[in-house]
Amino acid sequence: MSTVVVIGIVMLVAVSLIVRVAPAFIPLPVSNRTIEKIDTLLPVAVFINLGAYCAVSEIAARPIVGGAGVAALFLLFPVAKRIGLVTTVASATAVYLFAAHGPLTL
Amino acid sequence: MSVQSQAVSARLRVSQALGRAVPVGIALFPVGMLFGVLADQVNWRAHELLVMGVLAFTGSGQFAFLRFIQEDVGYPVIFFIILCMNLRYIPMSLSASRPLKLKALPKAAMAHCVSDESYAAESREDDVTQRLAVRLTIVAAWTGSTVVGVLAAGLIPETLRPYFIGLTFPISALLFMLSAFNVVAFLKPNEGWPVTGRVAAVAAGIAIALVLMAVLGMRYFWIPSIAVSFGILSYVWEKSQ
Repeated sequence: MSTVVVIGIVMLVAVSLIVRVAPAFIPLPVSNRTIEKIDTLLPVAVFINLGAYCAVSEIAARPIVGGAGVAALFLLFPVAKRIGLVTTVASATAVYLFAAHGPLTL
Repeated sequence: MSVQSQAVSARLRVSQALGRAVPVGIALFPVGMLFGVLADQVNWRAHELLVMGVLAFTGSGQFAFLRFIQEDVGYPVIFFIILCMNLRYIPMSLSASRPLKLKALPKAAMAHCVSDESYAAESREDDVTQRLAVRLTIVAAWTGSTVVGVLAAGLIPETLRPYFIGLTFPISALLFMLSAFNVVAFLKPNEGWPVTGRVAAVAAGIAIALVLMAVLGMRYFWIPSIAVSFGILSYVWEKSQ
């Protein structure tokens, strides 16, 4: 195994220990009310940021193409549960690829 | 409940969790393959990606490491940037690990497998087995796809390479949809506090995320933005009690 890959693995394991493993063992000296807030509200706060990040990063990388793909997601959202997650994502990806490469090269 | 019906119920719960995780794994595949193709260009081998995927599971971290070593960035700087990019896992691990009543080693292993995708695909009601099924599916999909990518790299004609550029979109789309489902579920009028307050808090959270992305950048906005969103949600929640 190459030295660079070993260094990469050690580095990424160290990051994982800091950001994922250590927080799992942090005792929370807080009230039940605070724990209830962490269980209910913290995931919502994370999802707000994760969703915003996904949309913005795609649009920032390729404004027209990413914008078309994200717009397709917004349009499909009301029917997403009915048509299924995979169909929704596949349809938006088709729009994205269509915008990127055009109908002739698809 | 008899032992047999308990086993059936456990199988049902796991298949329910897999029903959520497998589509996510499928959407991850092209992204993982892209990583494998890029890794092939710097002569990384399949067994190296296999070990990296299992021991050092973090897609964004692996992409960043690969990119920065090609640009001759120093290791301490690479470490710091990857650490900042991954700080978002702190609140995820905190809330996803808290319900798990496990011994230290299994708990550490479970926490190590937390990812954006697993966090979005898991449900608050999931037990340990279901969470394990979701997380292992994502790890297997990611690691498997990187290995397939590096093995298939030599077979991909140059003319098809431009099509790989858009391959990160499916996973962004999937994470966006799963995040939106979770936020919309929170907005439904069944949590015992007014919908208008929750809608306002979510809208404020989105606005602050956008502002902090513009001000701090896409790598460094995570923790301040999650903290402010959590603060706003907590404030509205306290007011409604």
